[in-house]
Amino acid sequence: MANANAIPMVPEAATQARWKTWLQYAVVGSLTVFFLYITLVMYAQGEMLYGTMILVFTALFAFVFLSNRAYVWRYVFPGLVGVTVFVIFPIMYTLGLTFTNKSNLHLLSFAQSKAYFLQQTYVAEGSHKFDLDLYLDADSDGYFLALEDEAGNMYMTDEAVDMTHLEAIVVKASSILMEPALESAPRNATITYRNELSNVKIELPNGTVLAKSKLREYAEQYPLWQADETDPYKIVNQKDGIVLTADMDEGFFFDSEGSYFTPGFQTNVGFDNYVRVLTEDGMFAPFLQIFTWTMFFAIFTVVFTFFLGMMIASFVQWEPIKFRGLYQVLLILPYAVPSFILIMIFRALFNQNFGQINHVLELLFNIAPSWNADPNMSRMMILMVNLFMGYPYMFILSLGMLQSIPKDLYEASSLEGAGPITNFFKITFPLVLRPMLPLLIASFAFNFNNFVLIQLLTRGEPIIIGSSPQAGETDLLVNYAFRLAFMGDTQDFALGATVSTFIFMMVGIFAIAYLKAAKIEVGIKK
Amino acid sequence: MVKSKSHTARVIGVHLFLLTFLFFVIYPLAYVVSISFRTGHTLVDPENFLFPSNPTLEHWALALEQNYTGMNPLKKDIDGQAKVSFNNGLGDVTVNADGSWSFTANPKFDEADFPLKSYLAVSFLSNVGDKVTVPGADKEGYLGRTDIILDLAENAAAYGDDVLFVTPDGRLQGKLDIPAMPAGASRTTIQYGGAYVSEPPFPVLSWLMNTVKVAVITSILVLLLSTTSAYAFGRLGFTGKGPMLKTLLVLQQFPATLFLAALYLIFEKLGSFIGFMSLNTHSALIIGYMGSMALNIFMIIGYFDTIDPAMEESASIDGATPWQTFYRILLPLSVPILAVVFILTFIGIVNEYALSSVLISDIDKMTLAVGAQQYIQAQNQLWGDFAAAAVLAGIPITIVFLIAQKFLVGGLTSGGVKG
Repeated sequence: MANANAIPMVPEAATQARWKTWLQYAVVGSLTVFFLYITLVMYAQGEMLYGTMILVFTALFAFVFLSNRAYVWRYVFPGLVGVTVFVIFPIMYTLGLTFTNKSNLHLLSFAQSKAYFLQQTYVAEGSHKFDLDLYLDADSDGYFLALEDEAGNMYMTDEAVDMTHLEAIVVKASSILMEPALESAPRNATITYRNELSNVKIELPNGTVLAKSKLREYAEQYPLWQADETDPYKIVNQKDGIVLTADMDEGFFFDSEGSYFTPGFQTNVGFDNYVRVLTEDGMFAPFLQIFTWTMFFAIFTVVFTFFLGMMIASFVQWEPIKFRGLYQVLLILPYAVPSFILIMIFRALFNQNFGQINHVLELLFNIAPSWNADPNMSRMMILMVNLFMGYPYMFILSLGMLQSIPKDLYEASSLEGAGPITNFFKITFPLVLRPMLPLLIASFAFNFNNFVLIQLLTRGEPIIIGSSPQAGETDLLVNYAFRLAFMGDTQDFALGATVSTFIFMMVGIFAIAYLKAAKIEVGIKK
Repeated sequence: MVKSKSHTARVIGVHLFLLTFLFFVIYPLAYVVSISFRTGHTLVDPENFLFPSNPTLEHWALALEQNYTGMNPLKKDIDGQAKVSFNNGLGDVTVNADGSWSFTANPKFDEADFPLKSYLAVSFLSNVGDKVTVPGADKEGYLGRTDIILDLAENAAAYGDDVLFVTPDGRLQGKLDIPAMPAGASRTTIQYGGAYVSEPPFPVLSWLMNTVKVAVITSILVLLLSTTSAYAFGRLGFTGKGPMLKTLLVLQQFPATLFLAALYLIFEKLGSFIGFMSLNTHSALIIGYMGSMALNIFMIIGYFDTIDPAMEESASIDGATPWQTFYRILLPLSVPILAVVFILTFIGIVNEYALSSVLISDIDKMTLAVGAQQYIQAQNQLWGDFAAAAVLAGIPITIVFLIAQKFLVGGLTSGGVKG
């Protein structure tokens, strides 16, 4: 694209000093090596998606910062990477999640879940048991582990074990003939390090691996589950012979009686989540209700904050009014005070039983509205609070817009005998509305997703009766998605993502409306 | 211009409207200051609409992470008993029926929380528990109130003769006058102050530090990324510029709240490989915030458009590289918009709740917006402590905003939006 303002390119490398070139190579080179290292680690762990992402990133990074042809891209590369990794990728990821059953119960992949079962061990009946003693190592902070079996054979680890880390390790032990001439560790050391010791396995000279079975006892352990050699979806319990079969639709291992075993695994469920949201009784009705409320909330807020803000702005602009500067500063206070503080103040003021508002209402009119328990009163409270929180923004915007209206319009209309109300509706309002339109759409989009207000003021409560999973009467869609993903017992990320996808569609529509209204001509100066 | 009566009436009307409106704007703010000085965590003070009837600095001391030494008004009935004994936090007190009392110091609390205060007095209660005033009683209905202060011996000089001073291993004796029970009273009680020490429930100052740290670092990084990007988009030509800007413009409409679950899972995964991206770290939070700051690019491009490129062109004819024209010429001219971007980002981060609440789980590492919620749990609502912490944190942020508001008005209306 030809750009009239473009500055002729003089790549820096053509003019820069030699030492700078070397510095550039050194910095870019070492960062590249670092990124490549991370890529390798990721591939080694089987994280193909992330590994590939970082590999692509590394290649682009090295190219952009070393090649003179990509000079311009050095200015945008970091920003674009940020947006790609933390906006575009999460949006894609969210879309991907909707086709899975990812939740707290299904966090692992099938392979990881199977591996988890196969790692479990048990102490077989009649297996040898060993008493555990700990000895201090004179040279380090570690401990030697000494074992003694029923027959009096003694073993001790070849090296001291450091108890400050928690990774699972296997330590080799050798046979010893008498108690070691080392200082015994305090008896409570086995209690202090009980978790650390659980991760320490001991390999005897004959190859038997022992693991901790009681507080001061090690025993021979056998794998509890064994993979079926013919069927990769079956595992067999070595203790009681139960066979578990993985159900690739449900994402769990089931026994023959149909009870499932955790941890479950992530599976592909196709459009099940969308079907659930749109057809299940406990979800569709609340979803529709929440959607309606969200629309109403956003429209109400935009219309009334705009009216209130502009009305106050035209008062404050009026020249005969004194102390206009002071009024202006005080009126934007609700915008200046951090919103998380203001919302909490309102939560206190509106408290149903102990709040100041009900206290005053009771004194004056002997009424005490149930702001917290009655869904309609809760919604009314939210609308009032958001009107309060939102008008200063419209007030600030209107102040600027009003100043740009030519004064002679008002003079002309007053010569014709028009009053202030006629002026407001015939001159001020139409002239301000047009330039404000894109900002109103942006405000609508913001309030459509006004997560913090609801989360801090009501947490979406009261709960909708009959909703399953739980939904709140005052939840906005975005709060509903958050509730599904983070607030429930199951942390159903997939279902939350599905609701988010519906919001994506709405936001997409707002974004197009915004672009149309703002008539944005990007990159071309007027 | 002649001013008519209706004009004057209108001016007064507007003033009245604005003042009434301002009352509703300011009352909530005054209210939070008020509850920060109230005793306990009550939301309504029946005796006073705004000013606390029993002001205390307890919540403020706790918000500043200091222990607070205070005293609770307690009482014991003495009718029909030879003596009553109790511990007032300073030591053990025994009061005999004739009013003589003895005190043996045995402080419950450390030297760091000294001085400890208590008092002894007599009062009569009616059968519903109200104090019955008798001649000689003070305004709280206490008769013969004796104040006791326990402190280290070297601080003795600091206290006057109107209080009884005692060292941590001292003893005191005295006598309370117990007159005959007046009409309307049914109980004689010994009133005393029970000393207590409350400890700060939450690390407010750490939260403030965390918030400032995260917000400042994020704002600086956002400024770096968005100005360089805006320069390339506004001044340099490259393929795919137009579609890319449009994409950014659409993407900025998607708040991070919508894909929190994805961000959480991504950070969980990346964090297991790259330390500074793991959950529960400030660096992860900062990186998470930077992604969704595309909006600023447009604000800066809009400002760059108002600067005549002639100067940069002449600089580049004189042999300046694009970086030099950007750094030496364009940036110094753009300081106002850079200030706006910095302040808006800063305030945005201070107020951000969703991502911070999901990524950070350690109390010590929380930011204010998330930390402040810890005071208000379903079972335990520490409104007084919340109010003090909120005022403490809110004042600097509010002042920054008010100082910067002149810049902000311009910044909010431009923002790449040209009607």
